[in-house]
Amino acid sequence: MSALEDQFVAEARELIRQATDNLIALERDGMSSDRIDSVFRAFHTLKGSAGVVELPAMSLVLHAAEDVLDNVRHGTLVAGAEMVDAALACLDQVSRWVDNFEAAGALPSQAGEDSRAMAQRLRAFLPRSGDQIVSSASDLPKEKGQGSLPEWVSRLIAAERDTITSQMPKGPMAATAISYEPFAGCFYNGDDPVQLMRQVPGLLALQIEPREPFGPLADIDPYACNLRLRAVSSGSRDEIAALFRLVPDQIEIISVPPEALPAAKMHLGSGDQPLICKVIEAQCELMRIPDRADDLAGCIGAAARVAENALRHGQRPDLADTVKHAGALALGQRDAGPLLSALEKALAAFTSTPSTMAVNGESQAASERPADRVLRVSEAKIEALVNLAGELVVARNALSYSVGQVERKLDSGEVARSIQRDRDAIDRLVTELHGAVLQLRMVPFSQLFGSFPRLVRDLARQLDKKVALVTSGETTEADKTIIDRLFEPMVHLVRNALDHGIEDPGQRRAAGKPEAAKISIAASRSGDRLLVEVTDDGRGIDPSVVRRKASERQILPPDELAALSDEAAVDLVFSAGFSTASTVSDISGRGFGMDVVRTAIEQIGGRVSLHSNVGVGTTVRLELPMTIAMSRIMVVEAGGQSFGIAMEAVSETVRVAPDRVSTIKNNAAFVLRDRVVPIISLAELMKLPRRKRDAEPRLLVVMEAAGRIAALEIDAVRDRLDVVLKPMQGLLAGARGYAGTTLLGNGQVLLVLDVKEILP
Amino acid sequence: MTIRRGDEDIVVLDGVCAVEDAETLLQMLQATPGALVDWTQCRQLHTAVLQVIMASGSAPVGPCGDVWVQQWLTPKLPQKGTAG
Repeated sequence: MSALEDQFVAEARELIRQATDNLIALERDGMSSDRIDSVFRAFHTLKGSAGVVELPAMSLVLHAAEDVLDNVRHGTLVAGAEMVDAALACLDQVSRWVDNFEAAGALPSQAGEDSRAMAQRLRAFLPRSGDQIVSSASDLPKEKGQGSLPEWVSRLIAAERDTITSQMPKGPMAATAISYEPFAGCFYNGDDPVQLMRQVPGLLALQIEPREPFGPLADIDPYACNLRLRAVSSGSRDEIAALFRLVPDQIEIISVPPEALPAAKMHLGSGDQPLICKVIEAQCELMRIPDRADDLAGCIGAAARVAENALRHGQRPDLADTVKHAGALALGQRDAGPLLSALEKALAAFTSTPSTMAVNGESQAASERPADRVLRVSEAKIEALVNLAGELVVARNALSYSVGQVERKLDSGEVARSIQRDRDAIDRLVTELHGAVLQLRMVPFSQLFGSFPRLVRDLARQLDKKVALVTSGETTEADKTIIDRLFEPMVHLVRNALDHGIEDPGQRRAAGKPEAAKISIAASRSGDRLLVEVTDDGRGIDPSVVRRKASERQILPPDELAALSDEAAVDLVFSAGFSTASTVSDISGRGFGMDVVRTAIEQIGGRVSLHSNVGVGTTVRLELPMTIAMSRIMVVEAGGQSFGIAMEAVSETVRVAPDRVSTIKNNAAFVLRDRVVPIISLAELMKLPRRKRDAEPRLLVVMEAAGRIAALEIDAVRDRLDVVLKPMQGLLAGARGYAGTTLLGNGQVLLVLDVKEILP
Repeated sequence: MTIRRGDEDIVVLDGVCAVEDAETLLQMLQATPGALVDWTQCRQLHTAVLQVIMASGSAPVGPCGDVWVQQWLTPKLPQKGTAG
């Protein structure tokens, strides 16, 4: 993709988001001129950009939406829910097309048809007033007859000006413009679009072009029609319609009044381009004549004026201004040089730009507005940088180890101290560098929250519930990977809250609650962890209902179920195969239970907890690491070998006297703050020789994951490290019980345990 | 045969070129990148064949034997040497 296309994709997404937000705000808070202007501008800029990257299907539908919004802006149309729905659907479509365009460099083949259908749906909102054009034409005499014509017709006529006039010697007459976009599969129906065009009576001009740019020859499907044919004919609208009667959905027929045709038009088309070029060339020649001291000033002034006028005439006011300034400069310096170079540049710019550039000029200028510029760097580059910084941290750890070795071997304190000082400096720099690189990937939560107003709006409408969404902590930042991976679980939580948590307005009234429910999403930082809370003020989760469902679904044996506290019972909603909804709805019942939320969050090193008060509401709390690039691990030793344990799973390390350890059914366990914690020997687990030291206190690492708890017996705690965890690869890829490996300072490969696999 | 290989690097369109000739033409152009298309003897050109010529990005040799195509479409095709 070219830089222009890249920029288009990024900006289009931003504009779509902006338009979506404002549309929703418009509907929620009522009409305000600022809002509607902002929506209109977003659609307008999008349409212009789509034109620049030549995506006519996208332009078409955006144009229709823009017309509708323009009516809203001028008060001739009210923005009702249906209209907002249609506008949002349009943005969804455009958003999908932007994705297609980014992935494949083109829109899908049915884009044109989809676009027409959607444009029709949008235009249905427009008020019907036949004489609108006449009244506006009186305000703008120059544009007479043009305002009523679709853009493509004006462009077609302008581009084919010469051909049309040569075919139309008797002066202006009414004509018909035809745009024919055959279906991609039309050849299979036996259609021959060119053959149809041959039969058009009184053909004045014809254009044929690919709908989407052709790819490399190797990828061309010879039987997928990717053409657009446009023509101007002196035949009547009815004749043309009869000819194309079999393809009504692929054709657009527009009557063109005589005054819109070139002979009567004062408006300049590209047909004047050669003339303008000649004029400018002549001025260049004039400026190239050397040694003209006497009349130089007059020459410069005249040449600049002539060229300026010619360029203005050619619809290039930008070039005209440049030439004007260069002329003034040349006059001031009494040197033709500046004007000559400006003229040459203008000539090059004028000849190289197609006439459509003038049309797109406005939107281009708009997209080049000096907004707060950010540097766009591809994710892959950042990823490479993060990996390098990660490797550097590992190398730094290795250096620390070597320094330790040197210190022990060297008696001379001087050298050791010097090495140590340098090591400390490198230490600090590497830490800072790594931190800075990770900062590059930090994105604000607003990116994640942005899509929720839309989601909540659509769901609430679907469910006939009234919901206000409150978000806070948008500026809180987190690693992009975390934000990306949070999206799906968050969507599920919000859906769940809306679908199951929030009552119908009637039920809410009966319960003495305001009819409009509230869902809040809040992000915040707590130390080096992130907290995200999704809270609703709905019916809450009833532990007795959860118990009943759990026993129906046999999640736990009845005796264990009875022993659970209410809080633990509510936590069962995270169990696999649990769903509290009595009916599976299409909102949240998509085989994606709360267990998937928990799994997704735990995969990124987070924890999920849930607090609910019956009748008051539910809060789901996600506790997350700031980044998943580095993992903090504890290095432990057992049976003479080292292992890593992710710190996030470790709740504490304890030394337990032998008399506190009791044996239950052959398994060792001890009581920690009124909880029975089973003890697993890491050495035994790894089939390593276990040191018999039953008389000594045991060293235990208490681990918690997925709601289970256990203590791992180890021989010693060696270290705490920040490491880049590498997934198990090659022969080890299938090994169970390990989360990954990491390289230690001494070059040893450390196996990091997957705590969830180990817990009983 | 309405599409055949002429001299080296030349593909000749002859007579009525129908829809199924599009694939033949495409294969020949794929096999010989930069091959020239000679359509002077073509009497009638199907849209699908025209589309392959357009997609190849280079203008055919000489005036098209299909007079209508020559009048209305040849000026719209890319000039020789602008192959992409």
